[in-house]
Amino acid sequence: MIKYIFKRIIYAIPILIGVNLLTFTLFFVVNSPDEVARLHLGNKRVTQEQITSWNEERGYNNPLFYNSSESGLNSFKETIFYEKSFKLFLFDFGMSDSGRDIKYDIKERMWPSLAIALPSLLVGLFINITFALFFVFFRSTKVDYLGVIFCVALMSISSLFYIIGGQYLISKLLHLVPISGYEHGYESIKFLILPVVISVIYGIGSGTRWYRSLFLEEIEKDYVRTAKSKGLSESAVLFNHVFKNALIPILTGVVVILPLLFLGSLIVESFFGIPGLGSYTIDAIQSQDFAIVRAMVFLGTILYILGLVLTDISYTLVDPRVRLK
Amino acid sequence: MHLTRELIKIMNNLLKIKNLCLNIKSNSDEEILKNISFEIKKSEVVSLIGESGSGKSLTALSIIRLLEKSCKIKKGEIIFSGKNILRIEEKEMRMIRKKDISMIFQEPMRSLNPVMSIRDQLKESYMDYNSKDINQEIIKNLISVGIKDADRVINLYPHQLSGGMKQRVMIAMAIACKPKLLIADEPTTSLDVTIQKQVLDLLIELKERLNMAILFITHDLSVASQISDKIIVMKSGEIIESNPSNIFFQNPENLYSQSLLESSSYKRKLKKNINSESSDVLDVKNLKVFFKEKNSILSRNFSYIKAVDDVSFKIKPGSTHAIVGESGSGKTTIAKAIMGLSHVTSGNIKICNKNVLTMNGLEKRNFRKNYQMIFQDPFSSLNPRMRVGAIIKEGLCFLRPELDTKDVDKILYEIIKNVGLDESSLGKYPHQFSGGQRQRIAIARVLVLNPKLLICDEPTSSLDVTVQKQVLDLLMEIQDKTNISYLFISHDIKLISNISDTISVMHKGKMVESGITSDIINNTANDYTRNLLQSVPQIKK
Amino acid sequence: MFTFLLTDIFFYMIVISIILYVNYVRKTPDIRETWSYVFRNKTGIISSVVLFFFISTALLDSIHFKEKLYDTEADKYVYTSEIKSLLDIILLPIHKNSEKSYSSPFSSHLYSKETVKFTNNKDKRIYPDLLYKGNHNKYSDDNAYNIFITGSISIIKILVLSFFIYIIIFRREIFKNNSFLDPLIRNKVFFTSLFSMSLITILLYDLGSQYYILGTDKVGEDVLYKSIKSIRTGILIGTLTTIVMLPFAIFLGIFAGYIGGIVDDFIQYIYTTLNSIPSVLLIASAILMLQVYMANNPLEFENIYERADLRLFFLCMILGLTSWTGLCRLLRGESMKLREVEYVQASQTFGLNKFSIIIRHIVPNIMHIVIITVVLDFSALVLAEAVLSYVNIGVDPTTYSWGNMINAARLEMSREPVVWWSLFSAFLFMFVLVLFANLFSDVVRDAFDPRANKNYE
Repeated sequence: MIKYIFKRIIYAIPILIGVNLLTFTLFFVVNSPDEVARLHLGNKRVTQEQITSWNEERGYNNPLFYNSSESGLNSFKETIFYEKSFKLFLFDFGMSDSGRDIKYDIKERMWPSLAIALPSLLVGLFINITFALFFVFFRSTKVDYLGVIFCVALMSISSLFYIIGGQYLISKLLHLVPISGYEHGYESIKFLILPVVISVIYGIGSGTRWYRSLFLEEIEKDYVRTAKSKGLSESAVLFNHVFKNALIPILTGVVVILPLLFLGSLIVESFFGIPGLGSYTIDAIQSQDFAIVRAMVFLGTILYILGLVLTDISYTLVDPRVRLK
Repeated sequence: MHLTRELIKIMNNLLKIKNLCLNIKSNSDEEILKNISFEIKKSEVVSLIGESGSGKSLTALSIIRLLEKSCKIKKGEIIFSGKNILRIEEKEMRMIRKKDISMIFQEPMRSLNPVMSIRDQLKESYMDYNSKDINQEIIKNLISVGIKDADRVINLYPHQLSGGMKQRVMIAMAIACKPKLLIADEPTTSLDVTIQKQVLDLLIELKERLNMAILFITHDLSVASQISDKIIVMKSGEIIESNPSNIFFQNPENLYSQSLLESSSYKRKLKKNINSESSDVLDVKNLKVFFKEKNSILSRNFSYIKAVDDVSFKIKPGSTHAIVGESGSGKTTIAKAIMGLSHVTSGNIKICNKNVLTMNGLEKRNFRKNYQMIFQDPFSSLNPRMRVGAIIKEGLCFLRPELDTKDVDKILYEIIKNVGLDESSLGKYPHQFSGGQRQRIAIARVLVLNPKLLICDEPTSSLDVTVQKQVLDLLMEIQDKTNISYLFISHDIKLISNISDTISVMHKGKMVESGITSDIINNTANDYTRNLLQSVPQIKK
Repeated sequence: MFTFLLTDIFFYMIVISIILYVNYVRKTPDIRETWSYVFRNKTGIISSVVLFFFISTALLDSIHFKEKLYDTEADKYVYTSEIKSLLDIILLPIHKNSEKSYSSPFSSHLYSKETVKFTNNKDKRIYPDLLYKGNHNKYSDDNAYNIFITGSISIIKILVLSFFIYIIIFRREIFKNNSFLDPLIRNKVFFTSLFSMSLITILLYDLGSQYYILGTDKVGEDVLYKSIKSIRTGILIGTLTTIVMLPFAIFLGIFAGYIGGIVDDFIQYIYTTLNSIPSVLLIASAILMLQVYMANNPLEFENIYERADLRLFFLCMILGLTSWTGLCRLLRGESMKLREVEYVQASQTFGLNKFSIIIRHIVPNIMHIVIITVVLDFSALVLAEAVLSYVNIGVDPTTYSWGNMINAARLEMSREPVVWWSLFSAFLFMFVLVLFANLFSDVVRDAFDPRANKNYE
């Protein structure tokens, strides 16, 4: 097991480097460090000195990739790329371009993201699987047919409609919960209800259909026929046989996105004013704050790879055909 | 007197099917079963014989009412214990499935739930599976079906058991509540011949012990003759013949039944003598094919699977050499190694005295037409998106680029007639043909190249018995005409003994015996071979 | 003078390739069978008719030209810089002029009160009348009655037209002998859906010339017109993206699966890396790059229409570049399976090289996955555009798109009284397109998936 984790870490490193390189290129192909500085300082009346000092403070005063004025290894080291990227591997995210400590911000903001994403996932999972089992129980009947159409219709409605409509209906008309905003501690619950409910409703259409198709695929298999020939009832077959087998792809599908929950949903957080990691990233992109963007992308990659690793491990736990040796 | 006989008859009848008609809802509303009627008496073994598409599986599924939703029973009755079980409520039917009628299926790997332990799956077959003694019951059951270390097995999962053991577990599940009728749908078809014998013996023993009737479905007459009291032959959804076993095998009434009986053992017609002086077409020396296998996706250890372990044999021109073995013995790997589809760890392969392992580039390309292969599954050996003409000329156009279109077309027309198909076939797609016809197309594909050696990897195993005969006749005819050599790979010893000149027996990668067919079949010194030969079911008359 | 916008060219390229594909399908009987399942299934027929109307709208909107006007000063004909489309000409009665500001659906006056001077020097706060539509009833002064008459006349128009088409055209020999078209024409569902869609179109057109059916927006533009114009944007995003996505996904997927080894590792590395970066970032950077480029080269992009069009094109390209990984993975898995299938092994025994085997055997046998994915992705892309426009990295704000309408209208929800029709209209049109695209893709998937249970009703 240790060997496996070690191997995975080795595989992760080239990916992290590649991701970093790509982010870096995307950022600085658009604007040179001077232009970024200009943007931050306000376009109009900045002197070259101010720009240079701003760049120096943040370490943008070296060439991008290759420093010809240094020799040997230093020609690669004394560059923005190397300096900015290297520290990431030590999880030292440094300061954002607007002067805040990134690590602190991340620590603060990951909880609100999680507070929305985790309940949405769990509640959504429960509701979707229940609906899916229900429709599968009544498969090939009118109930199932209508159910599929209902799910397709739900899926075809834009997420923006759910958000805007939900905000309008619940908050403006019915005044049940505030539209947006956030407070820490127990007060946060009243701000979380609406985004969670809306995320769940938005996911019903596609989620139920997906799980339904997983269950239907299992029902076609031979061991279900054997179970029925033993005299088991339809519901016993569904729960004891089909569900257990379908759980494998469901579980692995859930596990793979678990780590990414920390990053939050960018859209939901923006609309509801939740100070989570998602809105953090979006704001950074829009304000061209490279330090935050590269930190978030790095973090995102690590979490993504972590998700892949967890998926493999969870496979060995739920599927007896796959075992660690 | 008459009345009493009738009464006795009714009392003895366990199951009576009357005029069963079944339709399938599809593009065209077809009648699949047409007026099926027969009876099964208590403790009687009835075999339902038929080729694919005859409707035997559907009949069985109708009895236990596990048909797919697209199948509709148009009319008919199935009387069991005095009731028409086609009309009773599902709840009642479930009780019957649990206690009175059980079924076992063909593929034990797919028929067991892969994520449930053997114990959990067996528990479900019992009436009150929460009782304290259930474990003991299960262990006793497993021992009675021949699984000796039952207390270890109940904690295992299906993928950890062999094919034979899985089938025994299926049987154990079926007999848990001592059913009156066991329906067995081709239970031994996917098993090796030695295991098949064991399972058949087990079924016979269980029938005696439990006084159980068996409806045995198979396409193999020799298997049926081992255990049946009555034979029912089906064709295209109808019952062609129904007779007690001894009468049937002595003298089948119906022409179709006769052809089935004949085809069950293939007899090769006259054969030319082989010129033993001419040089070998194929010379395999010390062939070893080892595979590295990772133990699991997560560990970094490798272990070697010795798929082919030091195998040597020769084939003379015009002769047929057979490689026989059970599944996993390595016979297909040999074929792939010779054709270059698999890597070779060490050894020599010479075809017409040329070493094909060291040949490369243009030389190999020009040489390839001398040795070709036909595969087992006629459904996946032809590209479903290509027309037959294009499939046949693919190799021809590539390996003989000097031919122009007119020559190619001429060859195509000739070859399609030689394999017994119509010229119009060239413009059609594979799915418009039956399994046997597709195998002919596959033969045509390699025949256009005039190879000296043809490797046939179980070419008739997926085909119906009557079709097998036709394909084999074609192959033998080609050999007579062109003096081609065959490397025939099969698990069917009976077939091999009738068509091959020399034979090699494989067991777990090693060649245990090799020599002239008649010598080995009649006078083998090897224990494994002897066991293999004895397990082959012969028709009992 | 015809103008060819960049997106027009590619759109018509796609149309031409679809026509070529249809031609290919006609000659290949088994693919023809599969497609005819789609067009015999009830849901398939209805959704393809609806989609046909949407796509034709987009096609008509993709024929652009510049009008020739007589410039009295220079005393010659000059071309305006305004680029119009064929659809604009057709929709002229709906879109002649714009009002001052908001007005609600079917209303005859503006939405907010204004102070109006009266002749006797008394100022009143009233709802000003609409200038161009809403109070120019054609048939009667009573609004309800007028709507009723207009509607009935539209229905009569359609009935006459369909009668004419049915008797004169559909009864002709060419249709009777064609095995594909004949059952389609006789099909009740086909006729009913065609009739309903035509009826809706004519109703919208006739009523739309007299009223602002869906009201007007902040600058007084007819919301119905805006929604119809946005169809092109939505459809373009759904289709143009596939041009970029398909080559990457197919080549890389098949190479990774069939060739394996280092090539496979490398391709997996690429798509893992690409997947790790949030697509929002990639799209945002690409759009920003374009903006910077356009800002630095102002002379090349004088025409605002061409600029907006280039941005739309670029958005499609970048969406394609970020979305090929899903299909690539599927094709990789399928190619790995096909590598072991027997007819591929047979070609290997002939010694065919890898490339020929891929073209001849692998590609035709993965096409069903490609078709299913392309149709499925279409609706996802249309929905994505709305979200991207909200975050300001979608289409140019001057382009007609549902995303832009939603973005703009979002703030209107907090007005008192609420202005809801812009939002409603955008959502409605988007919903209809996506719903029928989803239903169509379901039927396509059932037809092409070899394992699915086909519903032959």
